[in-house]
Amino acid sequence: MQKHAINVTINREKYELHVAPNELLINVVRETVGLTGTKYACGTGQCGACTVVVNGEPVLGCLTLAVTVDGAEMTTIEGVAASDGTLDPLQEAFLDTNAIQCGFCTPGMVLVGRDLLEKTPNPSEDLIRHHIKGNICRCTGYNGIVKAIKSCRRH
Amino acid sequence: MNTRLIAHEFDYHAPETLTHALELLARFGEDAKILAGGTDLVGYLKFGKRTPAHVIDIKKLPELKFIREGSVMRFGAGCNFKSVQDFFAPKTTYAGLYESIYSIGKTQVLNMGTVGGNLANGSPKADTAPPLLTYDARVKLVNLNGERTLDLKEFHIGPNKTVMNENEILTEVVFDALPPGTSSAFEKTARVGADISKITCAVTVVREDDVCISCRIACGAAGPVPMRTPLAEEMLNGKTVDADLIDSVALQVGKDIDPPSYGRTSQAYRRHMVAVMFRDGFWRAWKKAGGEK
Repeated sequence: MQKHAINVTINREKYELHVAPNELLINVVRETVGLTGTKYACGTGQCGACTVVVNGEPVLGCLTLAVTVDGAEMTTIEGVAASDGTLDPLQEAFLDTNAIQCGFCTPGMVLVGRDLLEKTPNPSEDLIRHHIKGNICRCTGYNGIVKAIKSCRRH
Repeated sequence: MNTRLIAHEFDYHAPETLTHALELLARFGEDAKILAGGTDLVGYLKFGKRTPAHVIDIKKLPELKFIREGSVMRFGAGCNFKSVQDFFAPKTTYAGLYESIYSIGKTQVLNMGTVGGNLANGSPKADTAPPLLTYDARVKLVNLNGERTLDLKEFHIGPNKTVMNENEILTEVVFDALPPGTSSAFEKTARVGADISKITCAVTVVREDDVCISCRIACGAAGPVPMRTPLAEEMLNGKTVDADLIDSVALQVGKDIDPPSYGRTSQAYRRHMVAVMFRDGFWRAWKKAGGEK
């Protein structure tokens, strides 16, 4: 099983990584690169905790082979705030609305929430709930999360 | 079961052209598996349900990423769910296909998964299969020696089994544009939203005033393969539509399917629910075909 060299940009930084074909993107992000904000939970594509953004699209890190993201531009939760540490408005909103309980789903929720707001600046509540369907909050704190996303709508 | 990693080892190939992909497939034969979105295959690799020596990644092949509209609608098997959903969203005639993808729901899976993978995987539960069956869709299969196009209803031959040879790639989904006065709908029941379907039903109806010129019905998770229900369709073709007729057709749909009984979902439940799915789907499609929203 031959290792492959891949070049990826993660959170505005360039990396050259050597990955085996069977390595999962979540493990490369967490263990090789050391960005542990991305969470492992179900490992079967049901919960969305492992969400990372690849070329502008949220995908599941636990069902993506790392070797397939060669050349990609990626964002993980660590890259959502500005370089100087200023939080993204949606991160601020999560704090303001107490949208975080245990926090395990939060990285994925913030990334899909931002994805929705970037593509649809003024989403309905139904659309917000549909868009986060792939992200499970086992504390069941959905109302706070929906409220946080709603508060970032641009009218 | 450890879902944290893939224990199985394999070689990875990322061909840059379809021809190169087909050459690799011809060389490795049954030792190879095609990777498109990966939402099914990567899970299978984790669980040891597939153990290929070679994985051939076709997700980035430009030849498989196109959507063309005309008297014949065609889209490449490499289009992700999201792009097909967005393309058909404003076209109410094709609401069945749009709704089937919408029902898959998860943002991440819509970005990753492809309609080609959904079909080629061979699952009787494939959400996009029933609406495409009601459009009389065809699929194009290509190998190094040439290509063949066959009806989607000939494509699935058993649970997770298709007619595809090991040297073939599904490259394209094709169907004739639907005539005016036609609409379609898709209904699904699942454990929770954005889950694997328990039973699905797609309806495409051609309407002229109160007469059903033709109706095509297809169901998923309803038997060994995604299937049409010809006896139920026959009851509607050319008939004046009223509520009693639709109720009796709904019962016939329940009889036409051949549902499995396993896990949480019994055969009786699937037969009962498919009638409900059909009725809801039919009336929605019927109203839209008549110009109502």
